[in-house]
Amino acid sequence: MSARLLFAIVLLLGLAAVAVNVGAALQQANADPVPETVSAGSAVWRAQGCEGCHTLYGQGGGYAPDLTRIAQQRGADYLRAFMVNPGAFHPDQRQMPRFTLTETEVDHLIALLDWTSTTTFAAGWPPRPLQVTGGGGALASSAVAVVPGEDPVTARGRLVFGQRCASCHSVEPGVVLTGPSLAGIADLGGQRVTGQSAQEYIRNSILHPSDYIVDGFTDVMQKNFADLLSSADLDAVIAYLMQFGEPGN
Amino acid sequence: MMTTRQLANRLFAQMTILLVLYAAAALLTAVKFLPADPLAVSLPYHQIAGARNVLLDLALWTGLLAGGLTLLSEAAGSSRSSLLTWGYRGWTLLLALSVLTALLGLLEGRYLLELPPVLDLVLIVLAVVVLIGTIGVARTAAGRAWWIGILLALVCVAASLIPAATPAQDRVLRVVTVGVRYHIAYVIAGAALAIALLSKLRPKSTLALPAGLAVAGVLPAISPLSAVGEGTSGVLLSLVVAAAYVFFAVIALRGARAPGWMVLGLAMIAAGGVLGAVQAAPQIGNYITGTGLSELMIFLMALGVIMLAWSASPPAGSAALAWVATGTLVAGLAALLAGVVQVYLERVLTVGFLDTQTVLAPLFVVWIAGLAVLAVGLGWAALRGLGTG
Repeated sequence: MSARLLFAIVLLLGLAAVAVNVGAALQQANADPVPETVSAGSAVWRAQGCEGCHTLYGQGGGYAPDLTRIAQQRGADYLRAFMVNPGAFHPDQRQMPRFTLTETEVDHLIALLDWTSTTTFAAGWPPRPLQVTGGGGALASSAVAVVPGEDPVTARGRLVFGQRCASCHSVEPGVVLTGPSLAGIADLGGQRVTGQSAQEYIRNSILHPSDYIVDGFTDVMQKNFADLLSSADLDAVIAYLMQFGEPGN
Repeated sequence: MMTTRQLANRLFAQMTILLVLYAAAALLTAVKFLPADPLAVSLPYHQIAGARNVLLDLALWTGLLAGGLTLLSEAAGSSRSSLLTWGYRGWTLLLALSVLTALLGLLEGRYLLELPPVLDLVLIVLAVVVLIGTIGVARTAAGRAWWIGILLALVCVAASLIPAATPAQDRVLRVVTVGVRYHIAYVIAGAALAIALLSKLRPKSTLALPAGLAVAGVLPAISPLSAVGEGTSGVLLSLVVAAAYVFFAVIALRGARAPGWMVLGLAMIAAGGVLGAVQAAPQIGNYITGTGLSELMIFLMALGVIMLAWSASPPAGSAALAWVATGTLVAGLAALLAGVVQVYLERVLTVGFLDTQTVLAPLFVVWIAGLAVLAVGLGWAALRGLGTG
């Protein structure tokens, strides 16, 4: 067999393999119904260059978190507040530019991000949940560090807090991110709602954030932690936060 | 009217300038990964990353076309061609418009397909003009392989312009057109240029290199579909393909004293190919896709092909090569280590994205240092190339 014939055969076989896989992927792409708002959201996504920084299904720029399941993780209220003023979130860390999006464009983008997590493409990806949070600074390294002698439940709570909560809540006194600082929460939590202990207050605030809003803050906390956290993780976060009492206590 | 040799030299000079601009854009992009980003407000990441990608892709195109014209001048003698001269003038205009578009922040919001559709169409027309003008390269086997590689890359550019009915279709199209271009089409054209050059040093050189790399590239090209669609392979197949990349790079260089730029290019393609092959196993790729390792793979494949094209008309002296090789090695190793740590922390331990990025900051500093060395090497090569060209 001549070299040129061999070259032609292997190239054609390779391209045939590409065609078969692309055909299967396109068939899968057509299986998911696409509402008009999602298509409109896709147009906004492209016009604003979102893919230059973010990824969907792991495809795109790697400068900012993957957003395949962000709507499930954060909820529409949080995403709306974030898109309107990204600078208010996780200060002193990598910042998203403030795009001057209209309310309709924001709604369409949220529709797109809500849809991406429901497609058949997302069925097997990512293999483990991708967290978009980050506390930054000392917490960044402490979230993955091993503290000798630390109670395993508290250690688990520290890790989950770093993954789920730390982008909005600090545990440092006076450090306000998107939500209030949780310094002193082990004492302050028991004084906020009559009849609730600090543990009960923290638990209820995580599961039902709208029940009590601290003065000076708005109701943008995501509402789906009951779905995201196991009861063991919830207990662990509470145990971790109960370490932070008022100074002197 | 210019001769084909003159046109090739001018295109190589344009490629060098584009590479220097790319190095500057890559450095600015990398700086934005630092915790204290001095460009946080003044320069959005997606704009500078888009400019970086466009500059690298245009440098690739320009280098491959220059290599083809070199093949033509050697196969058919350096003749004058009004068609190719007009094609060259059009290409120069395209490059100027593309750089202007990038500077004005008017690029498309599709990752690695950022050139606006109008300029993509101009690119297709001009590249077809060059293909028609270089039909004479088909007299040699390497010339035919180069021609096929360029044609396949053009088909991919055209396919990327097909309007998708849904966001999902758009993603599939993007994945496959980018994958086939970087892992198959460009590699065929670049390897063909390498074979043409090697044939002078070792008469028994064959088309095994472009053919083997083309087939090996099929798996990495479609592997992202495993995250966007069907799974395609197991770990074993991935390892076979990874070994094939190394095998073809080694046999291409065996028995011949190849130019340093070609050795560097083949090493980069082999490294990028191994990364792509490993990523092709869904069991591994699902953890890797979208991390720094995906970016590193494209960087290595693209720059590797450029080095192969450059080996047809390399800058004088060895200093530029040493700087480029050192910069690539340092930046590549830092990016590799950062990617592995990112996969472990973010994808395995499910540590938050921003926390992971904070932990990676020291590696980003080394990565930037490597890119700075690479930029110096490319600048040096530009000075030598433009001074002697």
